[in-house]
Amino acid sequence: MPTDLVTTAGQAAGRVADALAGLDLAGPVRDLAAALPGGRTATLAARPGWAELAALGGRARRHSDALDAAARAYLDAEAAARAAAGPA
Amino acid sequence: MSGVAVVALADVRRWDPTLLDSAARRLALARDRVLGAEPDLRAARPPAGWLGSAAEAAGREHAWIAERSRRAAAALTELGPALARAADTVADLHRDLARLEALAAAHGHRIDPDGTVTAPAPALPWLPADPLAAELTAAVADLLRRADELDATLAAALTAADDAPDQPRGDAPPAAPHPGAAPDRNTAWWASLTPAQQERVLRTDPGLVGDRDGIPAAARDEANRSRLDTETAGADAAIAATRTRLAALDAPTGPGFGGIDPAAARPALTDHLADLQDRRDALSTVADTLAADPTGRHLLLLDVEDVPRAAVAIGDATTADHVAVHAPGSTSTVADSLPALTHDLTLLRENALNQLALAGRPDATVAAVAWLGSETPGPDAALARFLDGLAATRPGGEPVVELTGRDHDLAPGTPRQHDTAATVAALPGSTP
Repeated sequence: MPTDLVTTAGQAAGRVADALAGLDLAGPVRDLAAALPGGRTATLAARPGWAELAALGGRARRHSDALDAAARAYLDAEAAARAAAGPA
Repeated sequence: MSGVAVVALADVRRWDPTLLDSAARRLALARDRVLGAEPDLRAARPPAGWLGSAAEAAGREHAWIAERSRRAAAALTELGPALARAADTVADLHRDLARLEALAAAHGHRIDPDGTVTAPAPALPWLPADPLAAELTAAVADLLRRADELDATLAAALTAADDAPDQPRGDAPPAAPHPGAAPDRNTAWWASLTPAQQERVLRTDPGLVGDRDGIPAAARDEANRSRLDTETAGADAAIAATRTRLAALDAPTGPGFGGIDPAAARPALTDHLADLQDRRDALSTVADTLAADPTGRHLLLLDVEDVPRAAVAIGDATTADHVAVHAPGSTSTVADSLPALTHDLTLLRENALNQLALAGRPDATVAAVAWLGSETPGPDAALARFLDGLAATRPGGEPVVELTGRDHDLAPGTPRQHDTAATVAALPGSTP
């Protein structure tokens, strides 16, 4: 089991979460509607669904945590097996 | 575009270029951050060697995040060009409207909220109508047309962006052949993609094509250079993580180490660290080899999951008239052998070009490839597949010559190849 690669993937997912978690797509789209009242743009910008990007950050954070937990579990199991086997 | 403006003059008066500019800037920032996260998102994919239910769950979660991120990036990219000019356009509309209103007021005219221009009653009934009213009416209509055009453009971009999260895009590339497919099937698949689809694959999934035999050399190079950056960052992170875990063994009180004998765990982590540093060394060597000639070399293979493997071409192995490949065997490593091997093959290529010029073919082109992809001694199926893949990408199906031997004694591999390779096999050893 490539424990270090799972750890690395988890760290990369953490960076994705850092990049995406603070983003607010709904806010600027709402401002877009407010900036152009009366047109089709305002109608379309008022549709729900633009907050999805912020949700992505949360999912990436949970993905990172899951990978990190898996890597730790595998590493613990590996170390436990070596300890059980005793000195080489 | 409809010929009838939907936007009313009263609306245009309320449009806010400052707020529009602010929204556009924040959406552009969001787009840049989503696109900037793509390398990390690729690196967050669970490793191929990880199996079992936890790995499958992690794979599904990563696929969900990657797909939503890709769609968000596509949506924001759709909006970008339209929004970039919108604030300036609104400011222009306001300036032109103010000028028209000033002109109208100066001559006793009135522009109503619905865009109707009302002229003052003529002083005498038999005098002709003021021509300014007609001019103002036409000017207001033109202004409304421009406003409507802006609104329609932004609405179209928003519609495309709004569609992106929920509907598959019509230009999604067809699925690639399975990894073991014949190289010519990969060649046919790549040729079936539109330039936009190829660009998308290179940007979003370079691992799909970088080491895929049968893909043109330039595309493999672009994909693998992207992967080189990602792999290097991943190796650095893994080294740091492993060092941290080793250090934790000296103070085994934290979570995950309770009851574990540090002396027993240390060898495994030390071995991990050594493997990671070998991987990092190989990646540095590849990067240095490419940097030695930033535009003249192609990275045709990059695999560091186990024993590092790489292939570097001097010249374009898809478009060159003559192509030679040298594979020194499994005892040569990327970190130790790649620099010298590419140096020798660079000399070989220069000599071959000189020989071709002397033979009256000064425009002929040559590519030479250093292939360090052997995993085991003896006949190598991976090399045969690599050679078949290069040949499949070449428009005329011209043969690819395998050079055997070591160091300065490279020669075409078989008598059958020798005749074909006569122009290529101007060996570095014979260089004056």
